[in-house]
This record gives sequence, structure tokens and C-alpha cells, in this order.
Amino acid sequence: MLRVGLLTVLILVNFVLQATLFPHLAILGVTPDSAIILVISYAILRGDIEGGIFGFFVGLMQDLMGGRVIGFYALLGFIVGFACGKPFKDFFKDNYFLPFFVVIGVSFVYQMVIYVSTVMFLGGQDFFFYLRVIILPQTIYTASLAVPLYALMHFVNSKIEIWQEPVDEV
Amino acid sequence: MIEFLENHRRAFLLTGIGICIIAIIATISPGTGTNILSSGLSYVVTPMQRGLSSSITWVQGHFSALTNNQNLITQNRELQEEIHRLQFENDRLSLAAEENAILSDALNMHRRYAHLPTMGARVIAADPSDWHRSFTIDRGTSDGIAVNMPIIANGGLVGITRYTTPLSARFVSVLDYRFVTRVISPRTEDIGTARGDPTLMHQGLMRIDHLEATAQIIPGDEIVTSPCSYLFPSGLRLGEVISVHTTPDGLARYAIIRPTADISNMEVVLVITEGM
Repeated sequence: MLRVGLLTVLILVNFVLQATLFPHLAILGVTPDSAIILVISYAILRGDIEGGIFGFFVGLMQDLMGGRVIGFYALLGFIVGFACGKPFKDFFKDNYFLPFFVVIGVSFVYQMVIYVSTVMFLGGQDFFFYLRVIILPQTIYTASLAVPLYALMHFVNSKIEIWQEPVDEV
Repeated sequence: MIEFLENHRRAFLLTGIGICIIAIIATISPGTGTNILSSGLSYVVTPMQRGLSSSITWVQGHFSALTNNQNLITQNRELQEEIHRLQFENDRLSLAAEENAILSDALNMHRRYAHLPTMGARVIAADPSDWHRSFTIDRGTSDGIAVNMPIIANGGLVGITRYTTPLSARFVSVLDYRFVTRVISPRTEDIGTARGDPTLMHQGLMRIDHLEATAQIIPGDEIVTSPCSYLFPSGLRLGEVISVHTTPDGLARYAIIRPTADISNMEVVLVITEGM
């Protein structure tokens, strides 16, 4: 219950920051996608099932307040969470290089999927333009936030695990 | 619960994907102005965005006041001069408007540029995705905002409301690729279709398609909404022509325009609430 409450607050705060503060921190017209880092971090820490559920709700929040089709970002978040949880389950969680490289790879693929499913069919066939103007700068900017946000998630997760330990033993 | 799901991974994956795809299919039709989930969520998110956006404006204001004192004094002087100039212009124009009203009545003509009631609103959030240019304002259906209301700022059209919740509304800006409207150049009477373009969006520009091959439009020409547009009142200023090009097949021309309002730095906008 504590976990659900904390994660809900995290999703809300992240969304509000992304919509209000991050546009002021834009570099070259792009903003970092902190939501994807949170989903990847949580999936690495807690595995595919919880990663998938968390990713689904992070995406759903973006869908509901973004005012486009509902389910698109939820689907992307779900798949990212599920896919990142499985292979990294047995990795050492204090290793901060792993999330950094995973964020670079996943963020790049994630932006490509958004490009193909939104802009490409509406006259934006100039792939290299988008690669240069949005996809690459955003991947780099997002990757620069990967380590601090992973550290935050790691901290929150370890606190929850300590608090919940007695409950699990019962 | 989690253990159960861990034993049924494949079913979990397929159910998750299935739920999302059903949701996408159910909501893909355009014109859905509002939904219950978004409305409920807006009661939590909008006050947070309002608060944070006010704090950011406050911090920015104080920071720039400390660093740009001299700039502010100069700017203030320039604005004072601008006020005098505009006041003079306004007096002159109101005389012209009166004269116009009398002559229009005499000729029994329909008023082309009627008075439009507006409502002020603050821009509190932007689209988190870099692929779109839409913004959230702090007025919603409880203030009388509905879908498809034009938004203006700095005397120019900046967008149109697309989705509403009780406390907030989201508008698609003129730079977004989902924005389309019929426009006209008052000088040459050339008609075209203005649209947001994903490749021009980052430079703050948009384009006009479907101009006749014989169009007389040149850089510097003003572009306003056409009387053919069914979403906007006619005569709303949209922007200024930057360049004009001929399509590769030579059958039509297109123009690149710069919107009058600075889309990336909007703090306060006006919603045109009636008049269509």
C-alpha cells in the first residue's frame, strides 16, 4: 500500500515537472524525458511484472493529460517496463552504469517508435532531419539525467523494502 | 498478487497489450473533447501545475529584475512610447470604425469584423512530448471554455482549444502539425491553407499550401484567417510571409510564415468565447 501511494505521488510529481518546469530547461528545443528513466529504473530494480505495471500507469498519465489517443503511451510504457525488467533482474542494483546505457538504448528506440507512429505518416518523411533535431538531442539530454534519477529510484525503493520487511515476514 | 502474475507472465503481457490496444481503438476517433478520467485527474494535476507555474514565473521575474535592471528601464521607456503611439492610433481607428459602421449601415452590409468577447487565461503547462506543440490553460468548462474556441495572444492567432476538463483546457498551437485553417492575404486576396509543419515547428514557423501558381503574395505580406474558415472568425491575424516557393511540379506555390505571437513564450492568452 505504501509502495502504491509513493509511486502514485512520484508519477504525479514527474508529470507536473515535465509539463511545467522542463520546457524552461529546454536545450536546442528539446526537453528530457524523465518518465522513461523512471520506468526503466523501476523495471531494473523490481523486475518485469512490476516494471510493466508501473510503465503502464506512467504512460496512462501522459495519455490522459496529453489529450490524444488514450492507450498509446500506456502501451509503450508497459512494453518498456516489461522488456527492461526481465534481462536485468539478476544484475547488481548498485551498478549505475547499467541504467545509463539501458536509458540511451531504450530512449533512442522509444523516440523512433513515436516518430514512426505519429509524424512519419503526416508528411514527416525526412528521417535524418528528425534524427538530428529531436531524436539524438533528446536521447543525449535524457541520458544525462539517467544516473541521478536511477539513484533517486534506488533510494526510494530501498526505503520501501526496509519498511515493508516485517510485513513480508508475517 | 505479484507471485500469481509471475507464474503467468505470458498471459500478463498479452492482457496488458490487449487493454492498451482496446483503449486506443476506443478513443482514436477525433473530436472527443473530454473524458471522465481526464476530468477527475485534472482536479489533482491542474492546481499543482498552477502553483508550480506561478512559482516559476515569480522566480524568473525576480531573477531577471536583479540581473537586467538597466534593460527593464530602457524597455519601460520604449513601452511608454509605444502606449502613446497606440493610443493615438486607437483614437484614429475608432473614428474610422464609426465611419465604417455608418457607411456599412447605409449600404446594408454585413459586419465583417464583429466585436468578439474574450476571456483571459494563463498558460500553465506545455506538452511534455517534443513531437507536439500544445499547451494547457488554467480555464476549463467550469469557466465556459468549450472545444474549438480560438486562442489569441499579442494580437495574433495562436491556437484552438481541443480538449477540456472542468479546470483546464488544452489547446493545439498553430505550429503543431494537427493545426489547419483556411487563410487569405488581405493585400492580394490569395487564398491558401495554413498548417503547422513538423520540420518548421522548431524554428517557430508554419507554412501555407495550395496557393495558386499565379499567386501575387510576397515576403512581408500579412496573413489573416479567411472568411471560408469555419472554425475561426475572419480577419484574425496569423502571421507574416517570410518566403514564397513554387512546388517542384510548378502547379502551385507555398509560403513559409512566421506567426505574429511568440508561441514559445506565452504567459497570458485570450480565448474568444463567442462570435462564430
